[in-house]
Amino acid sequence: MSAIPVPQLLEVPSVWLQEIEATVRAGFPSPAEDLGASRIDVLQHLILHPAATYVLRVRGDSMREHGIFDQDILLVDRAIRPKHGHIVVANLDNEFVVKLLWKRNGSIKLKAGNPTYPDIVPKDGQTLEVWGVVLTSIKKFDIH
Amino acid sequence: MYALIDGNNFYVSCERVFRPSLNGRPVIVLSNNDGCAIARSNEAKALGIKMGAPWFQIRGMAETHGLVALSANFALWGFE
Repeated sequence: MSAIPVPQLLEVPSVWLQEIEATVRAGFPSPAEDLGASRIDVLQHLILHPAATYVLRVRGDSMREHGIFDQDILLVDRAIRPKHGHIVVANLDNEFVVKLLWKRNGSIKLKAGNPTYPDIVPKDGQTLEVWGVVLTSIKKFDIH
Repeated sequence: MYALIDGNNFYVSCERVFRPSLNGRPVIVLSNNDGCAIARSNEAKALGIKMGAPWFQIRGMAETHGLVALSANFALWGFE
């Protein structure tokens, strides 16, 4: 599976949503109720390093078991140091793939989230380039 | 004390970050209006393409040598 990158977000727009305080009140509700509610800036929570975050679209179902499906949108952060267990975008044979990074005891491999896909182990002399770490995945449902 | 950082074949290298399939191939980036070559990969330099080579003169190399020519994308590289 592979993904086609799209140029970065240069500014993270603010998407404000009202966080609703659900309480049961006795007596007359205050018209100023909404004033106390805090706002959630949705994108702020989904992006850590705006200048290093890129949008990629997923193709294929090799990462199903991790909740990543075909057509999902990934926010990939290139400023996070990749660690064992991170879901990463890697450059494999000059193509982007998204896989789970396995890094233990000096050995490194990429694992899929689908039993029909084999582990990717770099051969002697081959380099595995981790391009970025997947921080967020966005799924849009088909409403048509 | 100042440090100066210079990237090799800079515009081509930027394009390769997002399109690793361009690695190892002769790639050039063209100026505004696809006028002339303003960046050349090492493979393109090996083909004898000089800096500033007009595109109309070398466009045949796309067929004969698999040369990839990309239009400038200044917004992508951080200029606004």
